[in-house]
Amino acid sequence: MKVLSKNEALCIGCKKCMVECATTYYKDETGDKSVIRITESTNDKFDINVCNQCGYCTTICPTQALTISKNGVITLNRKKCVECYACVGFCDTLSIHYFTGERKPSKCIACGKCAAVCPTSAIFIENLE
Amino acid sequence: MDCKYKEILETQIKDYKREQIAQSPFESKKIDKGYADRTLYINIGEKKAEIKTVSSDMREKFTGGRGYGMKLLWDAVNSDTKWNSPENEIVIAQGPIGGITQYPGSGKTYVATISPLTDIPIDSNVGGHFGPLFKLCGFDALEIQGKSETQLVIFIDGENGMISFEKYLGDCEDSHILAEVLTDVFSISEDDKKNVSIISAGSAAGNTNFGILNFSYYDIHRKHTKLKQAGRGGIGTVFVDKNIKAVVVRKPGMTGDMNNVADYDKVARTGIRLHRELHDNDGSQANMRLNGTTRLVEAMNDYDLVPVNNFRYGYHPDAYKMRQQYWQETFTQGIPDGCWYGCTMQCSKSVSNVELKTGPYKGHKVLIDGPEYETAAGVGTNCGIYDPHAVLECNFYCDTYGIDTISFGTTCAFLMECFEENLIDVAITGGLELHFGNWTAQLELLHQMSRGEGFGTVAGLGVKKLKEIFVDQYGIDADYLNDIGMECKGLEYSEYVTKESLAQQAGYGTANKGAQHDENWLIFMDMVNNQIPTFEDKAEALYFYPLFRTWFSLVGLCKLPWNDIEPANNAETDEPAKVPEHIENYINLYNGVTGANVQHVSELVLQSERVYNLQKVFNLKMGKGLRRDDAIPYRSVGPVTIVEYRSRMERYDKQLKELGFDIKGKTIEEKMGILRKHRENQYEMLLDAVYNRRGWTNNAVPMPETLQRLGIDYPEVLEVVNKHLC
Repeated sequence: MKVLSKNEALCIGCKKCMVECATTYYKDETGDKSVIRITESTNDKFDINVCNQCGYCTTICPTQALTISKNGVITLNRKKCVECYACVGFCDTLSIHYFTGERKPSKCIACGKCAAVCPTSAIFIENLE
Repeated sequence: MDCKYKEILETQIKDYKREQIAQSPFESKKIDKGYADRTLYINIGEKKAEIKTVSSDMREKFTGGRGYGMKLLWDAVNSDTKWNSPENEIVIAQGPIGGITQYPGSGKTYVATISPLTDIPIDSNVGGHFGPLFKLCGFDALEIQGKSETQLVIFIDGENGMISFEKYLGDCEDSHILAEVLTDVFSISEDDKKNVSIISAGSAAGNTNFGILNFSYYDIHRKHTKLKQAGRGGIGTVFVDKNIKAVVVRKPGMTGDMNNVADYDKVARTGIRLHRELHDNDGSQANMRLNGTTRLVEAMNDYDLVPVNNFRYGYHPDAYKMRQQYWQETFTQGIPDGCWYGCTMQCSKSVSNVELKTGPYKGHKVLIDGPEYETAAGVGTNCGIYDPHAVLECNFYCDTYGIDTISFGTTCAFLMECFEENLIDVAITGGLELHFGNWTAQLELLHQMSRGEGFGTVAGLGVKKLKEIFVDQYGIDADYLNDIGMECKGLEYSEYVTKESLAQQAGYGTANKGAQHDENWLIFMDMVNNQIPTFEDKAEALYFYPLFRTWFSLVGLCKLPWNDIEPANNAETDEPAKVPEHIENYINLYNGVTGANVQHVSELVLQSERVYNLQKVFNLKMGKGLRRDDAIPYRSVGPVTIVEYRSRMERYDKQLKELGFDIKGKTIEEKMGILRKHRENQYEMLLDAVYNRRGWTNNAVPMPETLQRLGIDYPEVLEVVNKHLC
C-alpha cells in the first residue's frame, strides 16, 4: 500500500508541503487548500495530519465514488461523487476536506509532491505491505 | 440472490411487454434555489399531463412538500369527495430542501390524499429516490387525478422530456418483484438503475383500507431494489382504486447541487457538521447507524411504553428477544444504508437471505427492508408476538403486499383481544385462531388480504369500521369496543402506550391526520422528565412541537436527524428538548438553499402554522375536525379492564391517593371508575388549553382572526370555518 508517512519529530512547521499540495491541485499558493495540514502542537512541536489510506471512507461513500486503487491508495471518482461529504465528516482522522469553492471533497492520493519539498524528510512516501 | 427469486425476476423481465396508450411531452426546467415553481398535473382518466405554474402566493403561504400537497388537494376536491371519487388526488411533493445531498435526511417526499380510513386528508412521508429524481425533472409536486379503465404504468422520462401512459401487461402483483422488474425494464444499463425509481402498491393494497405506496431506490451496494413506504392512511388503496400499477421516473444526471442552492458553502458546512456529530456521538447515543429505530423496542419496554396485547400493557419480558443487540447482529452491516444520498444516520437497515416459511413466496430467500420500531412493536409485541423471524416475515409480506404495518398491527391486536375475550370466534374469523402470540394466524390473515378473501378482507377495513360491523352484525357492546379499539379519526394508533402521558394522549387526539406520532412525541418530556407539568406547559408543547415537526414535511426533510442524534453539549443548553444547535442547522439550511434571511425558529413555525391550519380547516371541509373528533379510546388514557388495573395497581392506587381520593375499601371497579373520571376530565381540560393556545374555539375550530394572522383567510377557507361559528 502506497501511503504518505510522517515523522512528526522532524517537522519544523515550514508548511512548504501545504503550499506545494494546494498549488499543485488548486493553484492556491496560500496553502489553504492543502490536504496535508500542519498545526502547531506543544513545545514547538507540530502535528501533521494527512490521510493514512485506511479505507474506512470507502465503506461510507453511498455512490462507490471512493475506491481503493491497485497500489492501495484511496481515490475519488469525481463523476460518481454526489458531494454529500459523508467521507469528510466520517474520516476518523479528519483527513478528507471540503474547501470553499471546490465542490468535490479532497484527499491525499500519495502523489509525493509534498514529500519532495519537505526540507527535513518529515513526510515521505512508503510502500507498506 | 436466491435462485427461485432470480428465476422469477428473469422470466418477468424477459416477458415484460410495453404498450403505449398516450404520451405528453414536457420541457425540463432547472431548479433554482430549491424551487421549480411549477407542478405536474396528470389526469389518468383522460391520459393527459399539464404543467401548472406555482403562484407566488402559494409558495409564500404553503412553502412546499406537505404544504403543496394540502393546497393542491384542497383545490382538487370538494366537501362531498370520497377517497374513491375520481377527483380525489394523490399529491407527491418534496419541498425546497429535498434532494440536497449534504445534510442527513434530505430525501424525504410527502404524499397526500383523501384517506379511505379517515375520509379526511392524510399526509405520509417516505424515503427512496422518487421524490428527488422527479424534482430534478423540474417539478415541485405531482398531482395524479382521475381513474383509468386500463391498468396503467405512468412513465416520467426525465431525460427525454416525455410522460408516457402505458398499459400494464405483466403479471407481477407484489412490490418486491414489480419494483425490481420495472427498474430493470426502464433503465438502460446496470449503472443506470440508480436513476430509476418506482412507486407501486401490492396485491393487498386494493383489498384493504390501509394500502401503502412503496417508493423504490436501487441499492448499488447490494444490487437490489429497496423499498420505502408511504405507510399511513391508505394511500396505496387510492392508488389501486385509480387503477395505477406503477409510476416510474427516470432521470440521469443527479448532482450534488441539483437544487442550485443560494449559498452552497453554508449548506455544505452545515451538513458536514452533522456528519461529524453522527460520527462522534451516534455510538453512545441512539446507535441508529447499527440498529435503525429497533433500539426503541428495548427502550420503550424499559419505560413501560411498548404496546403489549393491544396496548393493555407497556412491558413484557419477552420483548427483550427483540433487543437492539439482536437486530444489530441480524442486520447487514458495513453498507451505507441511507434512503437518500448523504444520510449518514442510515437507519434504513436490511436483513439479507431470510427464508420465508409461509405464503406464496415460501422457501424464497429474500431481502427484507427493516423492521423499524413501529413494525416490531405493531405486528410483534402488540400482538403478543416476540419471535423475531415472525416479525421479519410479517414485515416482508406487509411491504410487498402493500400493507401498512402500523394499521395492520394495531388492527390485528384489536382482533386478537376481541378473540381472547370471546367477543368474536372462529365462526366469524373463518377458522383463524386469533390468539395473542399466534403468528401463523396473523400471517394467514395477511395472506387473505393479498388474495382478497376470507376474514382478511373484513380485517382490512380497519379498526373503526370493524367496530361498526361488530356492533351492527354481532351485537357487541359499542362502548367496550370504543374503549379498546385503538383508532382516532379512523386512523389506527401508532405504537406507543400513552396511559401515563396526558400530553401524548392529546398529541394523538389532536393530530390532524389521526392517531400518528409524527406530529407529537412528548412522552419523555411529559412522563419521564416532567418538563411540562402544567396544562399551560403541555399546551405550549402541543403548540410548538407539532408545528416544528410539521416544518420537516414542508421542506423535504426527515425528522430523525433532529433529535435522534444530539450535540455532545446539548443537555447544557437552555432548551435541550428542542436541540438548539440543530434548529440553527435548519435555519442555515433553509437560508442556504432558498436565499431567505430567516433569523429565528418562529419564522419556520409560522410557515408550518399556515399549513397546519389549512389542513385543520380541510378536515372541517370534509366533515370532521371538531372537538368530538379528537375523542380518543380510553385504552390510551387509562386501564379499561380489571387485569390492566391490577397489573399496575400500586401505581394507580398511589396516584388516586395523591389526588386526594379516599380509596380505602373500594373495589377495583370503583377505583377504575374514579380514575377514569379524573383522567377523562384532565384530557378535556388539556384540550381547552391546547385549542386556546392554537387560536381555535373550544370546539376546535380555527378562529377567523387566527386565519387572518396567518394570511390564509381566503374566502373559501373562511366559508368553511364560519359554518361552525355561532
